[in-house]
Amino acid sequence: MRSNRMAILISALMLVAGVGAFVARPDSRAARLEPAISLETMIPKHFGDWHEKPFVHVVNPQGRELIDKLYSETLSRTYVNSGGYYIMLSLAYGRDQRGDLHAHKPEACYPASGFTLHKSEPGQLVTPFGEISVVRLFTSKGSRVEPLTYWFKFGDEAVTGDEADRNFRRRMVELRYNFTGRIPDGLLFRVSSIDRDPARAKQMQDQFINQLLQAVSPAERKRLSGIDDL
Amino acid sequence: MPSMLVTTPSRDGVGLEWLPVLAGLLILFVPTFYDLAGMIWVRDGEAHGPIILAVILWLIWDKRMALLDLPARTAPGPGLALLVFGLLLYVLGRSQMILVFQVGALIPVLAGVLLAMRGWPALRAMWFMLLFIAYLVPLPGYFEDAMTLPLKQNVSEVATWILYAAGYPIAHEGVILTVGQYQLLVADACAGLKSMFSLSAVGLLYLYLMRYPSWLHNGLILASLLPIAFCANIVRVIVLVLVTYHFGDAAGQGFAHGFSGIVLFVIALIVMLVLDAILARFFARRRLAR
Repeated sequence: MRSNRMAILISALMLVAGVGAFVARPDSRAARLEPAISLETMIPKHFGDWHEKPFVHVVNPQGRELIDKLYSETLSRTYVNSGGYYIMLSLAYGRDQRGDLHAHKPEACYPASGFTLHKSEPGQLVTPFGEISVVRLFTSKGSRVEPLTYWFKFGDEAVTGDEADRNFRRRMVELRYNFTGRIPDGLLFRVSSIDRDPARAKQMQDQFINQLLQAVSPAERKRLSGIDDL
Repeated sequence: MPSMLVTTPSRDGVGLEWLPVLAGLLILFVPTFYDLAGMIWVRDGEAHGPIILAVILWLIWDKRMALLDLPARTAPGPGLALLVFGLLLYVLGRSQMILVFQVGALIPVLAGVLLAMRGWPALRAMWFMLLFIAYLVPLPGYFEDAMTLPLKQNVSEVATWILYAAGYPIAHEGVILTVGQYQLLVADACAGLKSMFSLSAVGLLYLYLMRYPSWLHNGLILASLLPIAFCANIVRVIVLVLVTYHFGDAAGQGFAHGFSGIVLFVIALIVMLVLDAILARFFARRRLAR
């Protein structure tokens, strides 16, 4: 009899767990999406030393269909500064970044379009508002050498960094959002320039990002980079 | 036929106490495996999932009498503690869709049930099944990514080195092999992570079924599984490079590409069995000599 009672106790515990798992599941209808974003209006066409130069083609290797499925908004622009230095800015924003809907990494999409990825290293980008964890990539295709800097903001944090760390932080953000009934959004922020000198490219890209972040409002800055103003 | 009428009265109703436990397990894990089948097992290179599940079920079924015949001794403290831990993991995994936790929870849940129902002897009888469940847990994406790239680079390097030594015009840059006029990209699937996974599963199962008394024998086979899988994978890449070089791109990407995966696995398996036969002979002789 003793083990009969044990069996009943065990199955009761299992039932509780089954119900618990069901109840704790975030309700996707009740969950709140973050407010929509308009990249087109959020990102100024002139800021600091930079202004838009509308024609140069930006690498956009994924098919249109996939882009529309993954992201609710994308923006590609080319800017030029007073010294004639070109920088390509590419943003992709997705409102629902749960599960498999997460954004594609430039590490994957540059090689997919025939670029060779020579180097990928995590770094810290210093801004007057705080530091952003970024990834620096060094890519080339034939004679076109293209260093780039990117970060991926997931929910309210930039979750770039090394592979394992990034996934762990993503998970933590997702858990935090689930428990508060929100749906994490995601923003891929990428700048690149065609430049054989990686040190100069890094310096120009950092300057570009800094001036852009200074030109937008604190709320927009938070949504672009995840950093809070001090 | 009097023998047909012989029943063991003591066994009637003995299994019944397991029914609520079984029902609970089904309620928890049938949805999990349903999701797993729809989300993971349908993917390329994940077809081993249902096979492993079937093997585990068969192993447990095979052991059912040993379990039922165990005296009703229990270890309620550790058993329930393990069970509750497993159930918490399950709740977290299922509600947040973290498959690693959801499927992985099966191990502490089952271990807890065994301990609570029949004590430590039950756990001892079933340890291998519990261990084998680990192969059902889908590898987390970041783990897979972190392992795949270095493997791919090593495979490209070694394959290039061997073919170059054999006089072929080959070079590699990262994971792109250039042989003659062709360029081949060593894809994720060619990294051989999946074949390492499958071969180690099959190897473990084989050792469990063979029940060699010698720890050294078991250990040597275990230690050889991953190197065998790695070498077999290099052979696969070399074969594909040679097929492409001699018979053209279409041949290398067509039938040969899919087929070489199966051949690779069979070859790796045969190498393991040959190694085992040699070791078995050696250890049998040593036992006789004693």
